[in-house]
Amino acid sequence: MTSIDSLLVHLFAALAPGATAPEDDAEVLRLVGRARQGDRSAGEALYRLHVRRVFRAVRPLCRSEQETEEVVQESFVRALAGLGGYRPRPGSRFVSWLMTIAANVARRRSRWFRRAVYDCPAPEVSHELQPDELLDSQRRRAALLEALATLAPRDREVVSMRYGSDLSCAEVAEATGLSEVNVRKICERQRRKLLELLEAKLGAAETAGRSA
Amino acid sequence: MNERLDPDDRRLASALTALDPSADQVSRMAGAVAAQVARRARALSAEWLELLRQRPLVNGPLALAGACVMLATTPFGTLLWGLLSAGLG
Repeated sequence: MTSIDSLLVHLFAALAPGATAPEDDAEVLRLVGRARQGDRSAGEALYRLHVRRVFRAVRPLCRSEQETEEVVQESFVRALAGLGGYRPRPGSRFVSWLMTIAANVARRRSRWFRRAVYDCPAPEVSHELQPDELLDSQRRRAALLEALATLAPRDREVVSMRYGSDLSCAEVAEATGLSEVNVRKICERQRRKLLELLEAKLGAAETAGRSA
Repeated sequence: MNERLDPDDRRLASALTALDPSADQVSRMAGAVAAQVARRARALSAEWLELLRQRPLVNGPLALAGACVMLATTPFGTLLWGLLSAGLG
């Protein structure tokens, strides 16, 4: 590993994993411009701003936490290396371009492995949570993944992007190649089903209250 | 999201935050992304030289075999062979 590699690894690993700043599209575009010119700190900032959204949307499309990490990593590497090809358009944010890349990576992997089995999450010990909170968080996570696994792959992708990545229906339509009307229909149909499944697994109060 | 969300939309969006990566995962992925971006930025020839430097006994023959395949199967090899034949003749 060269000294540049070490520096980059160190800089990225030192990123505070805590709260992220609220996304400001103008700020994101400034960061994209700086990252294109080779500014590493801008690339790190883009990663920090978007990693949670991407992970949240990709997780239901993958079999395991490990695979999700790999997909997220590959997506960011592709995005950061291909920033020159990013063209901002009205109504389409950077995050939707990023999610298009991530969904393509996840889809390609899924075709590659030809499987339809989605495992429950491998519990990972988090140092941020107390034991009770950890158990609760793992329970909610497992229930959510089980509920999402009941959806058809295309619907799961749409729902994950819309609610996990916070994309608009138009952005999801652009990323998936479906029509906006179709995306709206899928969301309307599936969100009720998912909430009912979650309520059945966790109880109404918990679904509505704790996750909010 | 720029659109108006109804309460069910908000509940579901909120429920999906349960899938957020842990702090460990965020830093682990950050390290991997940084390393891969740096690797991509390096020239291919530098990658080859680095491979040869790290494990010369294993990677040397592999590099040689790769070069032979390239010469045998691409027009570049035919051109080189033609030039060499012309030069020797």
